[in-house]
Amino acid sequence: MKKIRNFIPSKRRLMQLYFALLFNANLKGFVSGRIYQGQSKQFCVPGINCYSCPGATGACPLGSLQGAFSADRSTLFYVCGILMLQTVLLGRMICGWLCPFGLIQELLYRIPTPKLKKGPVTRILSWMKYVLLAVFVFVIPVTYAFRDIPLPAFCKFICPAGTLEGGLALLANQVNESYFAMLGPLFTWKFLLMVSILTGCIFAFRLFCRFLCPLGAIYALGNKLSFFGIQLDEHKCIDCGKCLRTCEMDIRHVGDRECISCGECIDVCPTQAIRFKGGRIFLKENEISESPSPALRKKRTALQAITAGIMAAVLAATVVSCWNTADAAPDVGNAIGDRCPGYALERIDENGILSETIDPAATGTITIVNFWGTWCTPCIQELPYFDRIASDYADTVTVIAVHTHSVVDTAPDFIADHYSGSSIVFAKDYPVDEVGLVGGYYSALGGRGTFPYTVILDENGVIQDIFVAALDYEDLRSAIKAIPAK
Amino acid sequence: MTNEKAAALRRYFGIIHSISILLAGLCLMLACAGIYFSGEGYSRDAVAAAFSSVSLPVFLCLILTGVSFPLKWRYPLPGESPRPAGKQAQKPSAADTADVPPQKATYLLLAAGIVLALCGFFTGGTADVLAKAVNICTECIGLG
Repeated sequence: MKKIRNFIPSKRRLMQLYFALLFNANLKGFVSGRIYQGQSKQFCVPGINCYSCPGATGACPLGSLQGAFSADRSTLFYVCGILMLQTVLLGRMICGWLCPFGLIQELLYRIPTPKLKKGPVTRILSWMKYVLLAVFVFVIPVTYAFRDIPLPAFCKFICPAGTLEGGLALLANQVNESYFAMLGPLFTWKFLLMVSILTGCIFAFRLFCRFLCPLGAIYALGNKLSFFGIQLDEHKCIDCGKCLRTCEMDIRHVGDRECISCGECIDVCPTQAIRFKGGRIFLKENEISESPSPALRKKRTALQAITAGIMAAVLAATVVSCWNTADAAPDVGNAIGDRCPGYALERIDENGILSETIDPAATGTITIVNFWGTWCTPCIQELPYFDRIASDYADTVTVIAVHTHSVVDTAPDFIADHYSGSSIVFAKDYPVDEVGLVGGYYSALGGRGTFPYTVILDENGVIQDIFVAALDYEDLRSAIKAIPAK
Repeated sequence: MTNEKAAALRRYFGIIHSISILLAGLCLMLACAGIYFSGEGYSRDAVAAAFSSVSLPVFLCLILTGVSFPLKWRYPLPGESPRPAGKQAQKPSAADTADVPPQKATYLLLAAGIVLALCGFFTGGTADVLAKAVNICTECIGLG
């Protein structure tokens, strides 16, 4: 019986599993290799969960925050507001109870090997996440934003959750084989870092969470003020230190900035001085005395059953909804050799949307259609090469740069600053429609939600080449030369 | 088995286990670096070959993990238990559960959070987060 009990997960583990599944409920994405494009992605989930994961149903708050600092400044209010609400409601309880990457780290730590004990060195290292927050989430994105280069530095250079859930999960699917062509030094660095961090998590408890996670650092700032979490009754505390010895995080006091409110210390406190904040609202167990009356026990069981039922219903509804949305997404992508469908793209310039339209399949010249966005670093970095091609091959090649955004259009300002008078024809596409489905010209040309994306058409409007990586001048020139003469 | 022998056995397994994990991690990293520095570029076949080269240490890790858990449960070291025995026993009584009222700053932060989120919502912030979340910048996830 004792052995069987070892396999029974704790309530906290069940909650972690539940939320990991809820935040990654687009199960069809793992099969199809496509990311979810439903409306739920406008909400930031609590905890680190990469929105490039094929299963992700919500947006990562850290990725959204960097996006807000680096490009979409209009989202800054919303993202900061959501982060503030998450912090003030739950604080670092999110790390301990909801974060899917926290669950991965804890499961790795369960592998029985000698463990790295906490101490003064780990306490000092725990400050590193604040440095990463300041440098990679704030300073670098803001600095580059002044140069009109969006750079979500933490996502790009460090985040192991992005590499694991986004990068590797996409690469693992056969349909994304073309992505291998774009792997290079950045992937090598991020892969090495991810393997190091995950290996480290086997030996050190929540290595990423304790030392490197900037989102944990944000939640930590309001941990003491949060509505829910752990609290210590100092009148009852006898300073025995059992709580600090039991805790595997780098805490100095119960409920301080490093406390993830896992509740392990509650069980070892000899004077019952530690308890969950807000226990009367959702942790009814705390209100039950050692021998509850049958009526109270019955009420408690009923409450737990109702809660479990609601949670199961929400999960089932999310899975079904994601499955249907993914089904409804039009898969009309054309492949190499197909004739490009006719399409009237709205032209834009530095003044905004023009009354003219352009059909890339009917230009009568070789046409390079490049899908870009002001929020996409590699897109912006490759645009000068397209500009050079457009002027060098002005007679034979038409370069159409299709800006993809939904609400706040930052393209005209960007064009005014950098491409005023350029030979590139700028146009606008609406890849996300009002119900959140990917459509528009991007989807018609086989776009699968990844940027930059470039399609090369011959004079007859037949697709000759498709690229899902950033290109340089030589790549473009080779692609043009490879097109058979008319 | 005596406690000393169990401890020695556990320690011995732990060391082999750690070495195999570190070896597997190192092999994975070397395989990835090998692909990169070979100059041939990444491909599905190259990655599959690299991963198959690390299959032995990974297999060793899995075997040792399978062995270590029953060993840990059968011969727990003093003070070690996956689920502390007193976990379910200690519950504060009803009289001990009075909530400490939240501070004023908590309510201020809550109000500020709601106001900011609503401002963002009505200025199109949610749609922009959606646009960012459904259009993946490959470089941002380490692919490009």
